[in-house]
Amino acid sequence: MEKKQSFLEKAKEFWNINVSKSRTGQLILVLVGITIFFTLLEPKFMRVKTYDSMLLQMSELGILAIAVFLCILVGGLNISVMANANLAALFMGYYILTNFKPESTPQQIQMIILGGIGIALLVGVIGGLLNGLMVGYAKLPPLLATLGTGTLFTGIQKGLTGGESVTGYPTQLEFLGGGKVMGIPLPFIMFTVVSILIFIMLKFTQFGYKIYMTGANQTTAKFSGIATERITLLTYIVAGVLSALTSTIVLGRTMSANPDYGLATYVLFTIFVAVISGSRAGFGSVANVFIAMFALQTLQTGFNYMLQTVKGNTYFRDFIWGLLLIVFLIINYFANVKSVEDN
Amino acid sequence: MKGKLFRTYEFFLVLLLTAIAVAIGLINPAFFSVGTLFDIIRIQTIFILLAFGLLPVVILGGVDISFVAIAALSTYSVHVILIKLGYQGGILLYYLLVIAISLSLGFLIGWLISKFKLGIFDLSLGMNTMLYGFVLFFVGSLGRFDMPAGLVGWNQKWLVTVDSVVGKSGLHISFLSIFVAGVALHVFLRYTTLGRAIFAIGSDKSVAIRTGFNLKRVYLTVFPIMGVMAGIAGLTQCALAAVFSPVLLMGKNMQVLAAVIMGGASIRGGKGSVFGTFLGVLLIGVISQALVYLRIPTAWMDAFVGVTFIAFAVYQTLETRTSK
Repeated sequence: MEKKQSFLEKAKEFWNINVSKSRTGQLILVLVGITIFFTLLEPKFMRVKTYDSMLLQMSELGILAIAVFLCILVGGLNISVMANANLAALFMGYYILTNFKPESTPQQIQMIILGGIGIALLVGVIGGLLNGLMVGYAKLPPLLATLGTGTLFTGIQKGLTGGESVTGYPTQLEFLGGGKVMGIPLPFIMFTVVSILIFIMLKFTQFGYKIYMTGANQTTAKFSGIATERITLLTYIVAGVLSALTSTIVLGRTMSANPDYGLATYVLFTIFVAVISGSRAGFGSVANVFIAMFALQTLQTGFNYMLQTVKGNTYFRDFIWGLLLIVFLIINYFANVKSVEDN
Repeated sequence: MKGKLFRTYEFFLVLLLTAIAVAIGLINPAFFSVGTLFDIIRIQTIFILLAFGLLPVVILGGVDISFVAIAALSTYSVHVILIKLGYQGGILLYYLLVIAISLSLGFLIGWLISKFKLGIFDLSLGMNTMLYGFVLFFVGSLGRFDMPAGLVGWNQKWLVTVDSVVGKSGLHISFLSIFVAGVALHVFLRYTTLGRAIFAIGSDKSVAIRTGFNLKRVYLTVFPIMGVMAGIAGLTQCALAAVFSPVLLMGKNMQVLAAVIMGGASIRGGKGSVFGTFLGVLLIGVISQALVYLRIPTAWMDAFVGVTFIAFAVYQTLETRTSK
């Protein structure tokens, strides 16, 4: 006679399959955990205002994190995304400044801004093309190739501007960086749309499937008739496009094109997201990256609340982020050891 | 034997350096002077030391960016502590303490990598942010100009001096540290089993492990070397400039890595030489001086480093592919 499962056993089975053994479950658990933790410490944490600014702040980094995630998925890495975004923002800014006149009508300004976005996308594609050619065809190690291109992008920007920020844009541009559509910040809508599109691309298109194949085992993929070089190139171009999208948010929010913007921290954060979302060559999902980004932003905002009275708190935050990355790397090691043992 | 010398990469670098120097000299004759040479060497001394420290890591097939943070943390902490204790002696105690701290940090990195099989770059990314954050928050965030009596005047101890356009140029005694470190590192890499093991692991990790090389011991050697060289470089820099800063060398890791790669170390690991690295740093030094003499704004420096780095890396890759 078949034994009936008690509720407890069912719950335990659900827990095992969907939470403790799956990265998505673990991430949601962590996210809920830290949210509760910060709410207990600071009841003001659970407010619409907090989430409003969180959604705005996480979007820039979130899109970059997806760009880096794609490069990791195809078996590479990309640490030039922010430099590429900054360069795209510069050229977008140049375009807007040369075409914008004080007497321009709102419609004209809209067209100018749209043109600027086009220029930014072009710079992003060129940057991605350069990376893709170097990694996919010249077979350079991705870390060093993108380290080189990142230095080059920032270098070009510093050379052109003398290291200064370029400012003075029409105020309509601010909409890109913080405008609201039905109460939701536009950058967050962009982040969500990008996440969904990339999700569909990875899950339901040939291209996405080939990215997984190339990342999991390039030699096997090649022998299965996949043009791994072209897949790698295209993936880096997509990453370049995502950088360009980020540049429009950055330019709209800060209203300046700054060669050094974000360079000191974004590599750490994008790698951090990749590590905690469990992404590696051939394995990973956008959903996990999305939740991981949410968790990272919750931590970030939580630290801000807790440390706002501490002198020199930005330094302390750096210390904690570095430490956390190392801790999660070690946790990942144990998780991998365990999953190998389980199989 | 003679033919072999002319075909080495180092020989190519010497030619390239000479060509660039001659080109600048033709445009601006002021470039041709012993003073310029001394200036370049003095400015690049610390980068040569840093590059020497990074070389074994690159040969191992890794990229580390945390060595600059090790330099900042060890020198600044030692300075702050010694000043607080009222220390007035010479630089020797500084060197001993800085070496002790940077060595321990190097050991910690090597241990973490061998114990938990962490990615070298991933770990260094965390380390870099953590160590700078640590020193800025827990030790101090201001540049310190107060010097113990024993350190005052150390930066004027010249081996040789010459008169140049901008006053006096000289070869500082810290130049000797390059010599000592370079020879020691060369002997270690070429003539010891442990040194050869670094090349073996860098060329093919799994083969090296099966051959019986001890991976853990290599990690526990390579990273302490990197740490100590960074510490010494940081201290030399601070003592020369007569200011101790917690953000010392921040963001300079790319320049050092570029120099090591230009010096002929393979971007895939398994290849590299001390002399080549020395030339690689000089190459970057000459390029940056060239910008000054050719009146190109120094803001273009990063772009030049980026382009040269990419050019060298692509050249290296294409060369290894055709030779196969």
